[in-house]
Amino acid sequence: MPFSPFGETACHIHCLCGGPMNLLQRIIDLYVDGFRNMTVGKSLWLLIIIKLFLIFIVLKLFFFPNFLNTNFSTDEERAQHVRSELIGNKR
Amino acid sequence: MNDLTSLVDWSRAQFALTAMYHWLFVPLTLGLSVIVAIMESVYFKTRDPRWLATTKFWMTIFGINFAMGVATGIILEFEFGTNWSNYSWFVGDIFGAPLAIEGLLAFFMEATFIAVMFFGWKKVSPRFHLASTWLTAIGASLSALWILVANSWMQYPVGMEFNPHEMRNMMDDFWALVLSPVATNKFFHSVLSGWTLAGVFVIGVSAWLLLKKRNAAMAVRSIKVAGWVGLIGILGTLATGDGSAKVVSEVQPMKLAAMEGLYKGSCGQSIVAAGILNPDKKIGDNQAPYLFDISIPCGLSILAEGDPDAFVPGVEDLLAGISLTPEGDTIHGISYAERIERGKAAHDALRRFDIAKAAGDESAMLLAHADLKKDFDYFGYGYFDEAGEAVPNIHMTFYAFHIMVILGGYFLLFYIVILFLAYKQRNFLEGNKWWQLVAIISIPLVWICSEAGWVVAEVGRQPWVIEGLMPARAAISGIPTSSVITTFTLFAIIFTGLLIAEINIMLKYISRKSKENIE
Repeated sequence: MPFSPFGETACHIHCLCGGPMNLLQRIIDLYVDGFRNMTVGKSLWLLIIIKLFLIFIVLKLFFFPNFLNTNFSTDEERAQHVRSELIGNKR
Repeated sequence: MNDLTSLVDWSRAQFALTAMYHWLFVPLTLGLSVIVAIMESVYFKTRDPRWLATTKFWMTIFGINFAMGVATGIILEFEFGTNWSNYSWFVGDIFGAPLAIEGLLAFFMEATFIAVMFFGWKKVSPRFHLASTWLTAIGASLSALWILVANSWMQYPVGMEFNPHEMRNMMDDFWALVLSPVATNKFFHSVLSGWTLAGVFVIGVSAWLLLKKRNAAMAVRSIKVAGWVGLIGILGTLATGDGSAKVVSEVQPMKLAAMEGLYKGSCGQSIVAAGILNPDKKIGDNQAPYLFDISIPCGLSILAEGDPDAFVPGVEDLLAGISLTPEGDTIHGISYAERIERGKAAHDALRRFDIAKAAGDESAMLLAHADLKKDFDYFGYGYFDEAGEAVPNIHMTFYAFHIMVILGGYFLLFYIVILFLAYKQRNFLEGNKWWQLVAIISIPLVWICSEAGWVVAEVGRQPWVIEGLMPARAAISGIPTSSVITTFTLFAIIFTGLLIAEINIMLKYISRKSKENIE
């Protein structure tokens, strides 16, 4: 009897069981068929892709650089900068 | 100073906007995942196709909400690196560790099982599918846990030691962070408030179905499940809210004073159930704090200390470091003026450490480090010149707290009435349009209540980003204010557009699907 992760006595014909390759193929099928048969999800995925593009490409690359990583190359320099910011009476 | 204030204010406004936007989706995910899992459990037990249809209807709405919220929290992490770099460095691995666990464990668990939940109906066994639905719900709560642990550390920094070599805090007790009373209360309070919110959402949408006379049986089934989840949610939220108040009175008494608009405390302190603050009232003057108030005698003493005679300090008492015994004797604690002095002494010790380190003077370093440790708890006060700078915005905190509490009380009543109608007065439930309108109007109210809770938590703890250790003004990066204004505006425009598009998808789905027979 094939392995079933939740202790089924009789495995469903399509369940995610079997050997490693078989399991991998079924996982791929799960996603491929799932995406193919989506209805509401198609417009949602479009919005998600637009959103991820805006977040990771536009906002992150052009508007949200990591201040310390951009301006200093070593942790020593970063620590020194923060030290001067915090106790340099600038605030 | 004006430029700095402007930069701090814009950075805070941007973080608030992003966090409040993110929180539009999170509580619905937390609560709706549980409601859907319960519905699927009933289907699994009964194999009744009507429960399957009900489950799928709400599961799709859950999916739309999940997609709407995807990655909105990532912006907060960008802001830490760009706008709050001093803070990001200073917190060291403490903030990073819970967030990394959240990313690696909880998010992947959630993301894996959510795929099975949506794509696996005909691919996996019913039991595996049900387990995936529950694991999605558990994964969502676990995600919230680590974020809330990180936030709680900012409110109550424990389990770490400051390393002056690296200028950052080092975690030395992971469990002190995770199990701090602030973290445990905040976790249950936030998650259960999500159940409350999702319950109102499901009932509101179901009421709309009843109003339109579509799929009445499914609507009533949904109301029953959502009613119980919501009732448990609101009772748990109230209980953990009480626990939170006791913890706040201990670790953030200034926040509690601001929540109540309390300037001068007393033994047997009353609590303001509803009121209007005097806008002209200033710290230290003799004006009345309220223009109008309805108060419950001894209420705040009971809420904060569990003792009707206990002393609850007001803003002025805290600034002066004064409290009273139940007999009325004055106890002198540490005033804010002294905290400022000790904070400046901590800064001085750190400067001496820095000079000694540069000179390679080990003994001077040890001495400076010992002095720093002695006053480190007051490190953040060293940035202030006057005690009044350490007081949060009392008006905003007071009104947000009272909006949250009044709406919380309303939702308790709402759930009791709804469950009574669902079980005992079904005809009224299905036929009376007034209660249906009330249920629909309750949807925006529950979001206002939920967001108000975060306003209390975050505005009430100002000016601190890390309580006692780092005020907002010290935490920000030295970047131009104009760049923060630009990103604030960009975010507001882009995400308002996306929100409108996404809400449109959700409403269209509900409208279209409700016209089908899904009973």
